[in-house]
Amino acid sequence: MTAAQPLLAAVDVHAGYGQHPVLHGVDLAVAAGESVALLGRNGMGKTTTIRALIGLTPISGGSVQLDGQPVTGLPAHRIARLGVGLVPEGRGIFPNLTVAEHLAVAARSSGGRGPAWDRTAVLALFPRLAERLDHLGTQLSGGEQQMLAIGRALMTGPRLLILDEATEGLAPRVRAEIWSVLARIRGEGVAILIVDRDLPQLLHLCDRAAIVVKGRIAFQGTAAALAADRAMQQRWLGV
Amino acid sequence: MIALGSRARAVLAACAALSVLTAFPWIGGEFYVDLVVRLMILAIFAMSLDLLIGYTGLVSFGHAAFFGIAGYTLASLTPAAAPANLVVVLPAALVASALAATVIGYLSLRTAGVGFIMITLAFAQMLYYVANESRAFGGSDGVLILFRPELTLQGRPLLDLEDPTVFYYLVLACLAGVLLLLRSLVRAPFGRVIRAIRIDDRRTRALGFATGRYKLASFVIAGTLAGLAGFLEAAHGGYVSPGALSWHQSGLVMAVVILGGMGTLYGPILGAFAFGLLQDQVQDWTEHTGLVVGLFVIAMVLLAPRGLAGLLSGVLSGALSGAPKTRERPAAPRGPR
Repeated sequence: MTAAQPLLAAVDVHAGYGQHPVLHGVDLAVAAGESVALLGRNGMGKTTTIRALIGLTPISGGSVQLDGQPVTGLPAHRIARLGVGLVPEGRGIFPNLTVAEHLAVAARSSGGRGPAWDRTAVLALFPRLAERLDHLGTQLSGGEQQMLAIGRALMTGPRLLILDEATEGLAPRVRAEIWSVLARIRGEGVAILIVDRDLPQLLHLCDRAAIVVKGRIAFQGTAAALAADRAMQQRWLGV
Repeated sequence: MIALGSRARAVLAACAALSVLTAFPWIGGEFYVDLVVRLMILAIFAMSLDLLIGYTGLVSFGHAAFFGIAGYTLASLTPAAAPANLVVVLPAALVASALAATVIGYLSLRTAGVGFIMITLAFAQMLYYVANESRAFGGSDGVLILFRPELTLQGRPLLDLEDPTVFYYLVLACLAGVLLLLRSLVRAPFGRVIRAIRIDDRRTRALGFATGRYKLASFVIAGTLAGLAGFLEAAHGGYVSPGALSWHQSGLVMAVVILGGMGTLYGPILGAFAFGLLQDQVQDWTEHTGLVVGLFVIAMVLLAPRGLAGLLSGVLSGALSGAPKTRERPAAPRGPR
């Protein structure tokens, strides 16, 4: 199921906001080059899991390792430099930076040891961004913003790319484009941890799936196993 | 008619402004040359705060601290009966402001938002009371600086700063220098990071930047440049008092930045001149200058939320031709976090 030493290994992670606990012991592993879908209904802790893994939400218990190195409690920028790229929910484009500046600012921080993505490679992936290099973040369509958010994360040279609702609110044609790009990124050997609502596409893209229920991992197994088990889908995902 | 792009028009406007300022000592009377010096100093002070408010997203309400510290440094280092050496006192004043900004910034940046506003205010007020109560710093009377610093080379004076025209050009050179410095800074890689921090600190951290260090660096640069303004002001007026450190001073410079247009650098220059010239004019009609200037600021905030810079860029890009060009605007509605 997992490689001898996974790229990302979270063990019994507890986290929450102030007095309000959200994660009650999440165990999650992502092997190098592997794609994992993180599933679950709203409010179950998917986004909090991601935020805890990358150091944006403090962990109150448990441990996280990246490539065998403990990163529990490290500040977010250190974890990012170890090769974790985030495509945040809501895209997180900077309205006051141009497309070119977004890519440049991300490239500066690259300490990532994953496949090297430079501006040319990112623009080849998203030709539409090449036409918009001087546009500010606010002057882009939703789809272009999403492409830029992915491109920005790739510029940091991630070994693990984390995507939170990367196709939310996009037109079907743009979604299809994003999914095909994700497949290409996966083909380059970047590990992917992805949260999305589109179960068929997720099961198509990913090797494995994990389901979060009330702050714990209720299921972790191959995508094929989840695809075959309609009862489990019905029970935990409501599909 | 020749059609010019908005960029060419902006360059023309900047050249025109620079020409007027360069020629001004020959055109303007003694009083107005003096006034323009004060306004240029205020403009430098306001630009330094714009780096924090308009680019880094740090609303500092204690910026007068660094302005005043530089003035007091000059006062302390000026001998009672002779001018100080500019080559010594200017760097000393800048270093004093930079050190203060490092300490105050290091402590204040542990907070954010309203907490940051209050703690920067608190630090500046602490310094205000130290100056106000301390005998060494002249207490509430302040300190007279009887001689402007001089710049000499092997005993011969290079620049006679007592000459109003020479002092005018020194301040003009500082204004132009600070504008160019900050302009290149905000376009440099460092500038891209602080602009990203203004929009979202966490997201910038997730990109791999230790945002705390960038914010502190920005705070120290802004504090040092505020020190330059405070140094020039003290040298110009020959006087420094606790008023230079007071919250009125911090509030005034913030109003100038907002009136002029945050996140533009040239906006604060416009703001300083609009503020100063308006105050000067209103003084002739009424004693209640604060009332008139206050109403003007309220009207500006309501009618031109992007400040004078926003109005000007609208005019330059041809407001009639349509689509508003937005640069450095506040964030559009964001997705859930």
